[in-house]
Amino acid sequence: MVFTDEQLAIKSQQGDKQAFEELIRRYQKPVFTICCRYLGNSQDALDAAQETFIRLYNKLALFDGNNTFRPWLYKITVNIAKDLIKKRKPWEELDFSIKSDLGDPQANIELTQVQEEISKALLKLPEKYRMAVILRHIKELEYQEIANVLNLPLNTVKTHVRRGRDMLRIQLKEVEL
Amino acid sequence: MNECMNIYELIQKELDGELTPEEMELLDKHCSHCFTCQEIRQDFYQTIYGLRNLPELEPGEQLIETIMNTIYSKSPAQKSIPSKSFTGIVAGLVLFCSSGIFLLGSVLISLIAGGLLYLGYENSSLGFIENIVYWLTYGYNLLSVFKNVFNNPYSSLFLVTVLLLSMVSFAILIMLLYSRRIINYENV
Repeated sequence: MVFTDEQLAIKSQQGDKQAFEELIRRYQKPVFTICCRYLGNSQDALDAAQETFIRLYNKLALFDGNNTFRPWLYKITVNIAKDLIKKRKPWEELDFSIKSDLGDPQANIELTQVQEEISKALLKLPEKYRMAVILRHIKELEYQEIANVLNLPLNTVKTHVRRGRDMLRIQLKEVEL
Repeated sequence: MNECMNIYELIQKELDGELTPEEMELLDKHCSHCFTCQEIRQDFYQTIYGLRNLPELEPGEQLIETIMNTIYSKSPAQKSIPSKSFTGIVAGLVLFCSSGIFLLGSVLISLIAGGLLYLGYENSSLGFIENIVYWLTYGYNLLSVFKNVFNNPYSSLFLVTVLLLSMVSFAILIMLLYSRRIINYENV
């Protein structure tokens, strides 16, 4: 029998270890991907993903079964990734903007040239636009869901996404893909 | 040019799937004769297509294992995290005890030092009770000297500065520990 995310979350609330493990199994890639695309570094992304699931476990009691699980988890992910960026030293930031280690062979990622350029361009976006674009066009969330995740008004989210993808378009045009 | 600005807005709306059929018709019609807008539209398509097709990244099998071990192995790192109120109470108690020890220590040191002065300067041929009385008297006198320090503006300023600096360092230490916890465990 296949349980929905919400059912698994409720079962985890009741102390079902297997249910919680299944939740991690389902969401480890999406959470890690959001962190990686936002932070631009696989080690930081791994730390953030780990922290996300630990915080998820600690906050499970707050989950209301009537809500959708996915945006709720992404909200935790976004908060943790943002915290991590705040703690970063300026020189680390500079380093990340120059090179992207998303193609780390350890993570078995083979990026085509186009994908690599898009990843790099994404990391050059201002943070607020970057997260909005990731949630909208990589995780394909609805605008209202993004507004809830980022805790921003709907119109602000739309503006962030539109400006972000416009900047991406211009950057990608410059590298002549 | 103004028309192109409007078309740009329509392209953005198209990407969000918010175009009405009439707007779609207008957009198609314009792009059929405006090369610039047609190119912008194509570039947007490519960008969005590229984003959607970015591969989902693999964190590695050890992630699940690490998380499950951290949560369920009752490791001190997760299980013994003190609550906010507990941290506050401990910080308050430490501060209170430190002040108490500081005060008590000053009195005791004065009394002991007074006693030592007494032993150093006086003949101890007196009886036991008198010895104790003199001991305490000398101690009390030294305590008065300590008290007099506060009457001297420079000495008291120095003492107050030292005291304030200690308190500020202590407060910074507590805040650092506390903020670390807030960062890690703030509300969702």
